[in-house]
Amino acid sequence: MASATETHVSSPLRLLLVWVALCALTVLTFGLHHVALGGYALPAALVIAVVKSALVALVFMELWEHRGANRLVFAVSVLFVLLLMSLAIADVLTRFPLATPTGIPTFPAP
Amino acid sequence: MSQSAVVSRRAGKNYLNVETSVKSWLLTRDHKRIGLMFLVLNVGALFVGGVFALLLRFEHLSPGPTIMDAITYNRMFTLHGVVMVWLFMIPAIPSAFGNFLVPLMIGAEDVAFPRLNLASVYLYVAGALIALWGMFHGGADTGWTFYTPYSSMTPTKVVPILIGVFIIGFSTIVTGINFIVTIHTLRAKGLTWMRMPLFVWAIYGTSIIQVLATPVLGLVLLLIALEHSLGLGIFDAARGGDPVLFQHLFWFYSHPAVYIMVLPAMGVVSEVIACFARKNPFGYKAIAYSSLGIAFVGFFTWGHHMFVSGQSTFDAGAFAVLSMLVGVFTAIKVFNWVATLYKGSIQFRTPFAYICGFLYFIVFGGMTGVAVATVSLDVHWHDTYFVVAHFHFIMVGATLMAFLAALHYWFPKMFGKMYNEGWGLVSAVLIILGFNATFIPQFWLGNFGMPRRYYNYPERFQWLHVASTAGSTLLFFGFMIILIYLFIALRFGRRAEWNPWGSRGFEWRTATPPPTHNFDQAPVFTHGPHEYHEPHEVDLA
Amino acid sequence: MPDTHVHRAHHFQDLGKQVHAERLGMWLFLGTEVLLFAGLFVGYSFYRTLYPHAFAEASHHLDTPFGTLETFDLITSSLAMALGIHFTRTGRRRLSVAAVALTILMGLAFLGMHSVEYRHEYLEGMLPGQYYHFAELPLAGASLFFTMYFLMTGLHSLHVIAGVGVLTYLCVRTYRGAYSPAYQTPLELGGLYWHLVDMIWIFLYPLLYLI
Repeated sequence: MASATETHVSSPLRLLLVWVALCALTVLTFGLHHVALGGYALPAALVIAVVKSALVALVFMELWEHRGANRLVFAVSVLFVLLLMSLAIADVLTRFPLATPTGIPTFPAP
Repeated sequence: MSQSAVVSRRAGKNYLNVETSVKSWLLTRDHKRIGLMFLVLNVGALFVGGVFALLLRFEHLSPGPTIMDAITYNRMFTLHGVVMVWLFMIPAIPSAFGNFLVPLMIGAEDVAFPRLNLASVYLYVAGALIALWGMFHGGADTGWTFYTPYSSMTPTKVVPILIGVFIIGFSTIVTGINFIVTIHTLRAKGLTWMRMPLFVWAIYGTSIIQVLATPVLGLVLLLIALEHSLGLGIFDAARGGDPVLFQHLFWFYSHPAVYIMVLPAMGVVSEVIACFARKNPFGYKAIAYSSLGIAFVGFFTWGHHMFVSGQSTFDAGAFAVLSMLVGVFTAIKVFNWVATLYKGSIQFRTPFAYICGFLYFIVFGGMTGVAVATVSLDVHWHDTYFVVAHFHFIMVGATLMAFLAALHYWFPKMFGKMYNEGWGLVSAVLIILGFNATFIPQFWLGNFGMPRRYYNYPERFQWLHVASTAGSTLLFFGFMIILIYLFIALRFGRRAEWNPWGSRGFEWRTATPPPTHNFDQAPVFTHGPHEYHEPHEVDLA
Repeated sequence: MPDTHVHRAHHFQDLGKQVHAERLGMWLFLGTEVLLFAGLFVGYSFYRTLYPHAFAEASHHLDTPFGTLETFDLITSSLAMALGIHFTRTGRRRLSVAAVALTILMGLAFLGMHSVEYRHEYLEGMLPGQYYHFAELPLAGASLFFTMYFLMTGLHSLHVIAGVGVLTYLCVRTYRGAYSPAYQTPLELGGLYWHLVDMIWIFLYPLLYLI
């Protein structure tokens, strides 16, 4: 009967292992906050957050077992967020300085 | 190669008369009844928005005050925009015709989530009522685009309208989710993706846009409402905010929104052209894929509304180039439609008359779109009547023509009655002429420098405004005639045959009007849609 | 005796298709939630680019220990939820109810911790927009940081509240035996929603608390 509805019974051990990984990554990101990484702090934090989200999506949300359509939906949503973000940030980075709210150049001038 | 779908010819019982109590309509889960309710609501909204438009045009008969004061004028163009965009254009073809036709076209009994479908009607009504309440208590005067900083400061009742539109947004999202899931999971046996009618492809593309774009609108309206009522200052320069951020978020939705409006219209065009040229669509795959192309590439172009707002020139350039790209997909469709007409056996009926209008309007409207997408030209044309004319060419000239074509093409299917073809053609001609008379003068007005949303104007523009108003009156008469003869057809019209157009569309295989469950047995599809090269007719049982 | 009645809606060809449809519908809805929060993430990135120093300073005044605890809380609640679904799939109804109930409790704990945070910020004057009166940090960028902070965590908390409501309903249904190894899709869908709420917090935490 389970096969008709395609439910894959995920073992509790796998879920527990993912939880441990998530906790470890949280500790890591908290720890890195206290280390002076300079310009790499934001990318590092984002990479860790992406890995954590991927674990939640693929294992807890079972995206790994779901049909392709579901994965496409999630991937496309994320891509479009990046689209909006990239062109909006590009705007503020490349504007004539006095047109920004602070008047301060946000991008080092060539 | 005959179809094995069974067409029900039981006399009497169909989705309209199976149960006639008010409760059976208000609690229906039948997608056809839901589509019909949306149709009635949308036509009502079209009427309200149209009345606002007519009042605006009459105000412009002379410079200075004519029939209203400046503040009322500002409110009127705002409400015209809000009603037309959100209460008519966005839902019209998808929620009315999409709901009615998509399950029929894919051989399904209903949409994937019928109760959610009913909820989408109530969400629309709730949102519309709240927005209307706001309108009658002073309404907003910000323009339908709610730009900050004015929308944060305006003393008018902008918050109810924002909330009303926010709720209608949920209706849109629910509709989009329902259609995507329906198309993925309820296609009958034998109906592969490449056998789906082109209208279904168009609705699929539209639903993708609805799902991805509308939440961003929801958020940005919420932010404006909070900014207005709580002084949050996110977009307020005095608090370090940036008004252009609002525009990025707003147009990220609102540009794809215009594709929510026009893409279903293009689906209608594909259906009507194939039927009335009695010819297989020239490039089925090209038309199908270009629907997806428009859905995605439409998201890359929003900054072309912001060329003169203060965004960086880098972004402006990027958006200009990307905007040119989206025109390619429309061009692909137009060439395929024309190629379908070529050497077809044309039956010139009312739906086809509207499609002729559509083709002319989409080409000229589209070309003027490419023109305003050119940054250097837009510096002159932005916020003038040139842009107003451009988007009305697409929204009214193209989309509304397709809506009217759909209404006439599927009228017998939906109601089992036939309208008077003579009057149909007369009003089609009146509308096409009236439209040209209304909006071509506006291109000139804009090019000469007449700004949009301006109450007053110099004397030398008056003759163009008068010409435009005369055209709008003609348009209005055209619409009134349609209302009259369609209403007469509903009450007194002769009974329609089951397939008066001889269409090979899948929706015509079931009874006219269809029974509640659409098909007596689940149909099996053995060949593609719009196939006119076969001389046979569908099996009857 | 648990009720193992499975309902297949008549317009679906088989239960498998219905389950796929329900999941796809839920993923599409989750997609819309992602796009909803997107606007706020974009606003945040926009202003962080303009006010990097003010954002960093303001972030130091947030209760980072609380934020970290909240992160662990939500991650664990996600585990509980996933286990809840697992137990229903293996026919262990009582354990499933307990796991979902635990998820709900942890969700409420999150809201409780967050209320404590909000109260602290209210007392200090670290409020959005025109209400900002935190004397230590008069920079415009700081005020904007707190505006974004309240908007993002506020919208997130609203979703947590909605999630708690949905899960409570599903918990009761599970207790009444509505779900079984043959069909437990509504519980799955509620879980998907909860996991998304967790995912959003996974991003909010470093962006707001760990600048």
